[in-house]
Amino acid sequence: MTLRRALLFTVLLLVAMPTWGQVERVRADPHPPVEDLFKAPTIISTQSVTALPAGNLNVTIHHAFASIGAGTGGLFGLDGPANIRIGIDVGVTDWLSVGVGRSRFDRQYDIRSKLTVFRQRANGSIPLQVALSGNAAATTVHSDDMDFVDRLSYGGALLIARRFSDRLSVQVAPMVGHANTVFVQRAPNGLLTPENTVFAIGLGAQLQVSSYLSLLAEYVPVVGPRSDGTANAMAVGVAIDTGGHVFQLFLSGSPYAVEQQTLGQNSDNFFDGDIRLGFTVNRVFGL
Amino acid sequence: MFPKRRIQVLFFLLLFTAIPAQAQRYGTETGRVEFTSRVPLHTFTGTSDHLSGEIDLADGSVDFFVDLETLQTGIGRRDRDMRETLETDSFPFAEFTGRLLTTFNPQASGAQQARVQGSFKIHNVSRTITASGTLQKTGNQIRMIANWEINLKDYEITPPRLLVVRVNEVQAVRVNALLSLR
Repeated sequence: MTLRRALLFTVLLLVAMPTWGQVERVRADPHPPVEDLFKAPTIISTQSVTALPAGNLNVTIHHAFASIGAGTGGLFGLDGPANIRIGIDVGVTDWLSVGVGRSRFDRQYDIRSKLTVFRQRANGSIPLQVALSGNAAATTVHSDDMDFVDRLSYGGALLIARRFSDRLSVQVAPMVGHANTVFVQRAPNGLLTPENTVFAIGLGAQLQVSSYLSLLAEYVPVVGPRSDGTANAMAVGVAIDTGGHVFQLFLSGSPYAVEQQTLGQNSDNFFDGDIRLGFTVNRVFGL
Repeated sequence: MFPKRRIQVLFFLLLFTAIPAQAQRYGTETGRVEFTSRVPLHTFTGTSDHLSGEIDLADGSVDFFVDLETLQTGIGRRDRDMRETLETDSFPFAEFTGRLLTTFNPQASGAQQARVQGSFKIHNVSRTITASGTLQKTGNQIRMIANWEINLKDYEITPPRLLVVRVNEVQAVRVNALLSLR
């Protein structure tokens, strides 16, 4: 009996000794967040939940040509007036980014920010990614009878998204836009009842076809009162991820890249053929 | 033949033999790993401060690992591409288990040349490698620096493509860690 015990101890020791030197493999973050819900910080013209990591600077050039209804004479909108927003965003932390930009339409400067509230986790412990985004913009169009405060507008959104699989991400975003002055001249027939504050539910989706290519869709139906002559923004596109760049090519019913303009000023109806060709270039730099 | 008392004595002897060996284990959980990748006209470095593991000076064993999801290149998008390339969801660790080929004198104060040989595993592929570096005793700690190169193809890793250029298959790896007595 005692011999058996001695042998048992010896065997246990021999088994234990080699593993004594083996360091236990432990994950730094056992429940990592889901990545790339959307390839870029914007879906097409509205913000996505995708956050900019700390120390990253994202340069964006958003370009929406005129309506393709111009036909061959106007080269399907390429000859017409285009809206261009050039901007930069900086990841202050992994949870907070700030940015500035300038749009050609309304000669508008904007500052914006996005705060990630929580991120979807791969193990399902957090099923959604949620972020808050907000911006303030000021138009610099020449007008003697506008005070500075009249030039201001604001936009905000609660971005709620989920990546359902390796391919499909969907976002729902209650949004609000407020303009101290509604630009009536943008509507084709004038605005009979301008609404300064407009609410919408932004809907967006990304279907990843390959590691490089994704399909995008975005629809921003306004809910509640709206300015006459405005239409819900709709866009479809593709995102091409080349590593350092994300190129987005799209067909959009709205020329705008700032939320309160998309909600409150867009007069183009995608489903009536008011469609513009456009693209956005996203280039990330490490600071 | 094996009275109870003898077994106890044998057991304590074994324990006492093991304890001094334990006192020569130096380890870390915050060591630094760097790899340098080259693409035409450009290089970038990925860094992690989560290198974990230890050296046992008693038997010369070396065992380290790093969670590859902690590697950062300074651009989040590039990090994500790297994780996809390495398939870190399935193979989260890069690991080295081996032995010191050189002797280390803990009484000497200067940096001592050191070589290790063992199994390096990444992307679920193991290869025997030899790495060179230095070990330097500083108080109760040891500074460990090591360098080697890996060829991604050897580990069945397809180098990621950035636009139209490909990342070089050969990656320079550097480890720098301050190991504390355990």
